[in-house]
Amino acid sequence: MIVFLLIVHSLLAVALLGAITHQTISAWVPASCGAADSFIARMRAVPPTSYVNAVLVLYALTALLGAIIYPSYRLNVRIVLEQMQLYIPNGAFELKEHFVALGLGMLPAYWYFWRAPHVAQYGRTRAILTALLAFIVWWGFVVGHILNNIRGFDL
Amino acid sequence: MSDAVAISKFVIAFAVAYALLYVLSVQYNLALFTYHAATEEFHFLVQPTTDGPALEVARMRPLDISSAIFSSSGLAQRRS
Repeated sequence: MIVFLLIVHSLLAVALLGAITHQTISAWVPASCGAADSFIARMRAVPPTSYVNAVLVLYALTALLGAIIYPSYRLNVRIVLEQMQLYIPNGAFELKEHFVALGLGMLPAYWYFWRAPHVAQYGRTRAILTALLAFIVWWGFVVGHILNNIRGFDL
Repeated sequence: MSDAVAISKFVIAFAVAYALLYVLSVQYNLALFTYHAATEEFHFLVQPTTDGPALEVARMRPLDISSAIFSSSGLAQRRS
């Protein structure tokens, strides 16, 4: 059951990573008029508001599933990491927990400032909030995968 | 003050206050509940561990964890 939940957790994280990355790119470097029809230009041209609800739901669901499977990690993985003195991956995962928890507190602000995307004066606020959430999601994704595959790193 | 301005101030204040309270809660271990995963016990507020690690904020040192495992599995006696 834990393996199934872990896979669902990672699949939700993939979807969240895609949504927040597209939104961050389009918030920071929106496509200019008449831009070339390249892959990068199309990525910059996505409407950032269309990702807001998806990011909110996926962030909450991914964090919730992570919390549900956390006791198994705490008992079966972290203890081994500490006994093997793998402090860097262990600390990176602790940072992930803290970053994700802090990101949850940012979600109301994120939701509010994306509610009115036409208000130009909040443009920088939206971009910074989105970038912070993107950093949290990328950190969590990369660290989660490193921990999941740590036996393959020959540490 | 219009509603929009009030809400924008509230959500910013909430995010900042949430972060500050989170840091204080972690630093001083102010947990609302404790879950002892090994024994599947659930308690409100912080409860010291009896067997295995407790998941309040889970800040045990490696030595504590090792001794908890060895004592619960009987390895402590074999090691000594």
